[in-house]
Amino acid sequence: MYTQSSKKNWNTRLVAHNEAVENSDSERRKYKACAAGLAVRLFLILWGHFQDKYLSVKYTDVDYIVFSDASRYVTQGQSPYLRPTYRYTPLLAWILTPNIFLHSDFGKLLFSIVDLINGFIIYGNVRSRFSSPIAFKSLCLWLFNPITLIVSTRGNAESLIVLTVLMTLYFHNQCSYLASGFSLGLAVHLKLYPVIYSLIFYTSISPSVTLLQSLKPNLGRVKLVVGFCLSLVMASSVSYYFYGWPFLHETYLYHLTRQDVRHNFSPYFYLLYLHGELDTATLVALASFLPQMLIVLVISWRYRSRDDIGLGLFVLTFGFVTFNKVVTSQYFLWYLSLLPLCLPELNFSNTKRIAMASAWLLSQGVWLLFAYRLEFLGHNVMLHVWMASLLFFAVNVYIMTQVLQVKRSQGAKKLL
Amino acid sequence: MNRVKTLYISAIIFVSIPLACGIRAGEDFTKVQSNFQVTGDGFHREMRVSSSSFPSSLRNCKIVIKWVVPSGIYVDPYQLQSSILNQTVHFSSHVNVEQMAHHAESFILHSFPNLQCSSSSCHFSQTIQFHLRYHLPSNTSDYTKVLLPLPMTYHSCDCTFSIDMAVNKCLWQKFSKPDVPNYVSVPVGDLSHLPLVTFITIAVAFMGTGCVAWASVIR
Repeated sequence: MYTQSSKKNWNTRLVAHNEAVENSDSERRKYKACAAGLAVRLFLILWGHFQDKYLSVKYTDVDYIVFSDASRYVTQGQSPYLRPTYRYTPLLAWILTPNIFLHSDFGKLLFSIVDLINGFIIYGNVRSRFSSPIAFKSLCLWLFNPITLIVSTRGNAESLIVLTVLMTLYFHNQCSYLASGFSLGLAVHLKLYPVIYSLIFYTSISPSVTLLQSLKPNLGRVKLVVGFCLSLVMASSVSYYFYGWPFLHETYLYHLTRQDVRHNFSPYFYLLYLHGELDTATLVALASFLPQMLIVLVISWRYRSRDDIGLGLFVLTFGFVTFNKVVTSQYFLWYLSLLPLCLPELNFSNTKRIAMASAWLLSQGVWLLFAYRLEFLGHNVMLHVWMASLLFFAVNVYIMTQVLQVKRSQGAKKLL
Repeated sequence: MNRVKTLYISAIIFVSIPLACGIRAGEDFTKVQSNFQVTGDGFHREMRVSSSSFPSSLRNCKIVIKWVVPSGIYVDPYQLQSSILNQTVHFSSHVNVEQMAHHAESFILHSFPNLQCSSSSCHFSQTIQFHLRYHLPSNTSDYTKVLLPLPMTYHSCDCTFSIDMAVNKCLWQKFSKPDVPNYVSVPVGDLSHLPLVTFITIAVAFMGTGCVAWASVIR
């Protein structure tokens, strides 16, 4: 009896010891992974010079050239909005002025370093709910995701927006609602789409089963709203003070009235293109907006629980992008950046994971094949591109329903 | 499959340069051959303008390429400027790279290629990337044709003005060029697809919304 009891204790201690060693290893490996992530990014930045110089398809993102041109105007005391297609906050042009007077790769390096900071935040978030090895896997999923790697090193500023969203989540989990709102306001200032998170953050402060209770103001919610308004109004006022109407139009209003009918991943592109000059254009635009609005409301309501917020942000972004009128591969990063936060919760079988990832990639591949024929070979395959975008849309909806159902079976007990 | 369509036009130029320019007879642009080549398919193409060799004694002459860009295509000023560093380009008006063809306007591009000279000869070449705009859908054809005027090339050997002033201030001699109409084909949407595309897109979007809503509330 005594022997069995002591053996059990010994085993328990051994398990605890192993866990402690494993956690300690993961903590150490975290820094090594970040160093490796930085090294890969530096290599890609250097590779970009080679590709830009010698290959016909350029590595550097066209947005990066736009940012740099806008920054050049700023260094000359002019408005960044003199650069056509610069549709961002002037803060970005200000931040990237070292591109002009220091080195043209400054922005790429900055975005890469922000990638690492995002990785640390993701690690901390997952670590607060799961073991170190799982958090380490999430970190690696972020750091070595090919899309993450390429987007930042090509000079796309998405990592900055991801940072503000992750900061919002961090402060929200710390119950620092003023800071959370402040960060969310800044995110919306940088890019409009994080405004869709407002409802989830607001309701999850005090989740409730009734709509009225979920919307009723309390101290936490008031702090969130005040923080949000404070940063958004401050950043917008400063920008407006310097650049006036062009800032308002290019940063905010353009995105609300944008009519981009050129081919993209959204199945709406062909619809909007064909109706472009007809009387039905407004009606069709409204019909395409309605599903997206419903999706945002339904998912925000579904994930009002504080426990689900990481997953909620992921599904909400996934749904918003899937149902958007314009979808480019850059938008995928909006939700892929949130996937490492919730992947440990999605306990699909490996087969299902592989099947879903394959379907997502293959349907993209089909679309890219037809888009290539249209854009680079001049073949008229618009109908095929549209059908491929419908396939991609269907795959995304399927994945979304699977995620929603799995979580439902786990989370239903907590909330209901 | 469309093959890479290449337009290769050679023009033998017979233009005499006034002796007042200080150039010896026989050392002028009389026999200079100007070449135009359009490469690429789809929405992204290139116009290459180049010349055959001419005597290096003409190295101080200036060359200007003038291209009237029709509304059906556009040249991105920033892309062009970044691809021809240290060379000057002028655009007659603001270029909106996002507009569809029926909303866009044509504009004129002036480019001043640098001469590339060795000890005995010189030549110039310039590649101008251009892009096709989206055109209105049609119910009669899968493609619409855009008339592509060839650039005009000029030279001046007595111009003392800076490049920025040169377009208006210098006396330019025009190279003759073949009067051959050139077209590029642009894929356009088929209006006969309208009912099918409208019904299916909206039906699929609402079905997708229904699926997500169902998965959100199902226990």
